[in-house]
Amino acid sequence: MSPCVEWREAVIDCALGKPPGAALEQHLAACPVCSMALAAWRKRAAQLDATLQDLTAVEPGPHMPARILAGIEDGASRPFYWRLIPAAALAVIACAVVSLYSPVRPRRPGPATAMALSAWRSPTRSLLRSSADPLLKGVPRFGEGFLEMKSTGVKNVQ
Amino acid sequence: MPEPHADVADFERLLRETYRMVYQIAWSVLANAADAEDVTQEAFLRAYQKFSSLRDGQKFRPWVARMSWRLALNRRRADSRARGRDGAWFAVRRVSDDPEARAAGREVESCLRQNIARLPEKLRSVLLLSAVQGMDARAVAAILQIPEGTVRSRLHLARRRLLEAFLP
Repeated sequence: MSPCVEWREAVIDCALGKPPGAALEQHLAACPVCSMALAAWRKRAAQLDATLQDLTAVEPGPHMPARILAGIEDGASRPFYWRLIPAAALAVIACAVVSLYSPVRPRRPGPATAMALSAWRSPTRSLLRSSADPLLKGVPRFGEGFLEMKSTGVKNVQ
Repeated sequence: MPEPHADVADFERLLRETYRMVYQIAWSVLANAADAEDVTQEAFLRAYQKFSSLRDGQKFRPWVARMSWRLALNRRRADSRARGRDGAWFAVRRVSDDPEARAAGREVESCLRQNIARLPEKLRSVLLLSAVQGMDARAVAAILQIPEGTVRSRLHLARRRLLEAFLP
């Protein structure tokens, strides 16, 4: 049984308990198909509501309150250190996370390392050494030029 | 863990008044007796732990109801992740596979379960909580923390969808 197409939505709302508007009331008075559909759908809606109530009307066991209270007492009778277990687990996890994700700081060298570093010389010094060093590093005497100097290996002495 | 100054007698009285509702709320989410019982137990255990902080005894009912709802929802989400589906309402048998149910006049119930499972979560929550005994729009609104008007409109929409599924 189908009501008039244009009244279908209004009839469904009415079947679900919404008060009908004046226009729908007028139509229902004039249209037996729609009023029969409304009556049938009201029954259907009531049946669905009742079934839904049945679905959720589940009864817990009669001993549930006693079991709940026993569970609470069991929790109360646990030794104090049981409360610390979750906290300890959390602390361990937090430490692990911090150590994994904290930035690595460069370590300061120890004294032995510092000494070794200060004694180190770059190898380029020996590469730059040449036989002309005495000439280049010497100072010409008065009236002499660098070009006239002989490489005697003796330093300039006044 | 329980506070030493929690009033056990008061708590026990409130527990006996509300455990049925708490259980039915959990069941409405989980559709499973064992899970609903676990959630009820856990909800009351938590309620007991924080009972001393509850100043107004009148608020115990909505308080524990919401706790049960949240716990049940968490459990269902965990279950659905594990099983790869959305909770027990989807796990109902198909009508055609259950001739006994048909013969016993349970066809409507079976169809209803299937259609409830197909409802969007927001509508399903309101519908099922409203069906729990003693839960009016105000109580449902308090649990879901939405306005009463929203509860009413969602309930109407949910009932409408269910009815339409049964209409020619």
